[in-house]
Amino acid sequence: MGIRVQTIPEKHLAAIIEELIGCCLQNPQSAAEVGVSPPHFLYAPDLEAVAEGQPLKECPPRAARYLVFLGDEVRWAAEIHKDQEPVRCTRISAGPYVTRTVSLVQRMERLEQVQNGDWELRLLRIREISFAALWLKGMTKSGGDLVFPMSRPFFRPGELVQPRLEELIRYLQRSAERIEDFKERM
Amino acid sequence: MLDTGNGIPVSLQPVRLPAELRERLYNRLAEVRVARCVLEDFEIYEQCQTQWCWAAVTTSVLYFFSAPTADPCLTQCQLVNCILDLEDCCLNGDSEDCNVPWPTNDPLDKLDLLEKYLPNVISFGDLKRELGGANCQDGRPVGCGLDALGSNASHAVVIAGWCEIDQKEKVWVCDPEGPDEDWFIYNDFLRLYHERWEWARTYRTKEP
Repeated sequence: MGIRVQTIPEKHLAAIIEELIGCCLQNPQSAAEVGVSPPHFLYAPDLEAVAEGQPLKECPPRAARYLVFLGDEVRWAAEIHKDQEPVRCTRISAGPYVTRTVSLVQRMERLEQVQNGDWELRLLRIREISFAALWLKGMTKSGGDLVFPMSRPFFRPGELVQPRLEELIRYLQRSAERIEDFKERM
Repeated sequence: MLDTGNGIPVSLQPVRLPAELRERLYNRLAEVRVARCVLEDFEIYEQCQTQWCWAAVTTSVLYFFSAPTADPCLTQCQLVNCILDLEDCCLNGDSEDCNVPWPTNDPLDKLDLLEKYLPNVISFGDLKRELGGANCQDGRPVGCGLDALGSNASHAVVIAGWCEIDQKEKVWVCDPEGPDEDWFIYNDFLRLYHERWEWARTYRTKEP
């Protein structure tokens, strides 16, 4: 019970390592320090679909996202697109969303509701409106979903902010509509 | 409370590399020839409204050359007030008057951070020179104006590093929409950044 821990396909691990070589890692000694988290999936719904109010659950996962650690310190997030052959790491990123993933999941795991439920961790990301959130998908029939934003205007450092889903969806739809409307006016 | 002993959540506990992969990584790192430079002091600040990439990029460049003097969001809204000749963008940043796109060269120029505006891209060699060459000496972040494919939308990001490995040329792109910092192959960044943006304008920066 709690947040499900997914397994790491060996091909994914090899692809991540290949992408780290050179620009991210230079020192051979760091090979002993590298660690990779279990994956969670990235969901990146189309802006138009968000503006039209299409349910997020209809959006397919885009990529498997892994956190890459050096020792106990998280350094990068690596993404591997779904269904891409040959398997290739398409993105290595750093920045606040990487560190926030660790700190927010740490707080989420302390919630009784999370400990007593069955959840799948996901990342919800809508770049056009600068929105990102960690999404716990309830895996039981009775379980709903929990969403914890990592971006403004909801995110506050050191807190686990959990807006009501209706409020969050209204915000996403309004923001997406404004961008769509703006595109048409330009 | 869950105590994992290393401060990492249970569901994100990293797996150490299997011996074979670890050895392969060690050997590749020992043999690979890399040249790289990253402006370690450069920090990209999150844009505080959906259209404020230009304000976030300018704030990030300003606080690269001088120590931050205020909260980055406060700096962004004050900058927006100044550029748009408004007064209430620190209170109503998401209003239709305040939350608007703007050419990034304008605020950079107003704060004396613009060395030169170029209505085009620059080569990887020129980028390396701007960023301080192989020694990272006196490197300056490079602003990039991007145009969306298929619409008139625009965006601004900063390149704050470069890397050459196995004849691949990569750039360290810092995006206030996120914020994110990513390595991209230079040619991919030129034409198709995040599957929708094309690099169109360059802002060479300077210490004010």
